[in-house]
Amino acid sequence: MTALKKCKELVTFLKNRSLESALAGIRRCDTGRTRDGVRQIRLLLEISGDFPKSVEWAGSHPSYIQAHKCARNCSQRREADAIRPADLPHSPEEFAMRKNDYSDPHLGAWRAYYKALVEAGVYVGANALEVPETGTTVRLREGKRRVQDGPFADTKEQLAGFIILELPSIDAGLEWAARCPGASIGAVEVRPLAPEAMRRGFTG
Amino acid sequence: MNEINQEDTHRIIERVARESYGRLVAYLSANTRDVASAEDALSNALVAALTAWPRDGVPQSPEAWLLTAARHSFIDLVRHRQVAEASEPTLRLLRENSMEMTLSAEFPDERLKLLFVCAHPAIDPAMHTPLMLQTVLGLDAARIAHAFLVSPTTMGQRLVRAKTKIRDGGIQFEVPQERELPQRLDAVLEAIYAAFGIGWDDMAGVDQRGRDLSEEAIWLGRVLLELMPGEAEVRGLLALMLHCEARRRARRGPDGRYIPLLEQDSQQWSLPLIEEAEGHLAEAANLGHTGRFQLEAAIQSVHAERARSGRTEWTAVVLFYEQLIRISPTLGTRTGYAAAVAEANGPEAGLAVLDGIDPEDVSAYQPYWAVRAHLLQRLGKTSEAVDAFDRAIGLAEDPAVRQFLLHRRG
Repeated sequence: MTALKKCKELVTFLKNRSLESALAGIRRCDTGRTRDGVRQIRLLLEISGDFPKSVEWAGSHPSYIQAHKCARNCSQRREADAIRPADLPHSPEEFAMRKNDYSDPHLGAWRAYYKALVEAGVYVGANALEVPETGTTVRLREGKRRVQDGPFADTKEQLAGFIILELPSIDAGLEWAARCPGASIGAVEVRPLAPEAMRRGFTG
Repeated sequence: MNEINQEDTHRIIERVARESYGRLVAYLSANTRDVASAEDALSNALVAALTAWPRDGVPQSPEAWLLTAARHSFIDLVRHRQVAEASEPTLRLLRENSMEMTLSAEFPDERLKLLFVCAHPAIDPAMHTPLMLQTVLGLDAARIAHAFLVSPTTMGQRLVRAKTKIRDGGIQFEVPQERELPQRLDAVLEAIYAAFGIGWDDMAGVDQRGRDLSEEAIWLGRVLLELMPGEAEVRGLLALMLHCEARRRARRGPDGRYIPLLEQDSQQWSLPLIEEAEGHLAEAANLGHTGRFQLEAAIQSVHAERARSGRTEWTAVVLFYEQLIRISPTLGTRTGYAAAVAEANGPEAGLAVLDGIDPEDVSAYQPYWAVRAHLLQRLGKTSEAVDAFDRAIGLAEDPAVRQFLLHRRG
């Protein structure tokens, strides 16, 4: 399995944003790649956006991946046949802009960004999430299952996708974040992945 | 005292703070090398002024008042730090110093020494510009952090570390000797130009913060010229910044659209700024030492000529670039050279220059890909051009530039 395919599983973990499960997911994306002599760190660019309720979503793009396999009432969701990380959506404005038409300049910007990441040799993996309304949240409390429609946290900013990069410093991460088409509409958060040893602790 | 007067007083304090900040910090830290304490002392003095001046009226010499208040605060600060062995020399220096101190508004301008300290070879080059912006201009760490794309906490820590190094690392407050002056001065000029470049890239005309930083850099350039009027490169740098600044308005359409240099309406360029720049460049030429900044200013001067003649003398641009590459073969220079060669001798010649650059060096250098895409498109190599456009678009930070390139790519 390629690192990219493994990254698909990450989405579920990231969606509930708890550190442990996120770390477990991240571990699966770790390809252990290093570059000659330079210590590389991996950064997670979390792309989020403002999601006002009034916006009508146009996010029915075929490349969005299945976010919640585990949720029972989420029977048949679309599964991406090919992952196109350049299609990361990140804000309602962007969802609204988005068309299935590939000549769309907005998609063009994302594809170009993806190409630049790959050509610069820093890209590890990425993916996009469906709009938060499509989420279903599961909790186990006192042995009882609680299933709820909607996102984990009802905040204005929601996680919309992620990119994992391998870079020499956090400064370089901020530079790539600033170039991300999502930064001028939503927000891009940059975080280092937890140290290898800690990640291993979660995954065995 | 009524509201309006209070507002006036606040404005006066702001103005004095802006004009005198660097002078006061430089003077307070020149003997002690303790820049951080000098800044803290000055902040305390400014806070004191905010209470005292509206109440008692603005003193006759606001700068001398601030200096006295800051000196008292400085001595307190150093005493309270309670690191006896570390602070004793500082206290002694302060005491010795205060013997000669009077309340007169006249005190030596030590800003030149401070500028050389900020760009000292013992300080991390990446911190030269942030240090200058903070110690000479009084910009806060958060604002510097935004400009440098670093988190505010990180920038704050880096500034503290650099100042500790100045204090404890034996860095002298002095103007370098003749022998090492060219190299040391170059670091100062480089740091000022870096501030200008950040302001320049920062979405001109859109982001107020960005524009301010370019203005701050020009201010620093003027301060330096006042302190070193006989240095050709100091004038060269100022000329370069003024030439670029003259075109600021023309770089964006009324709708915020990005407009490349060649398509700018030269009638929108600022003639007074161009004239001022030309004046400095001519002065610099009289001094007889060519240098990197004068050559860069000369290239801008050729472009500015279009406002008068309606055309660009590309062979002149190419010649200046050839000299510039000999002194400073940076990626930026070589990319600019390629663009100029393409205009003078055709896109194939320009592309050949680009091909001479190591691909490893340009994997994340946006201007290279923008120029390459443009030249490939002119040669009708459509699919290669699209590839290069994608790289340029993906590396662009400014949404207006991204939009422009997407449109060009078609």
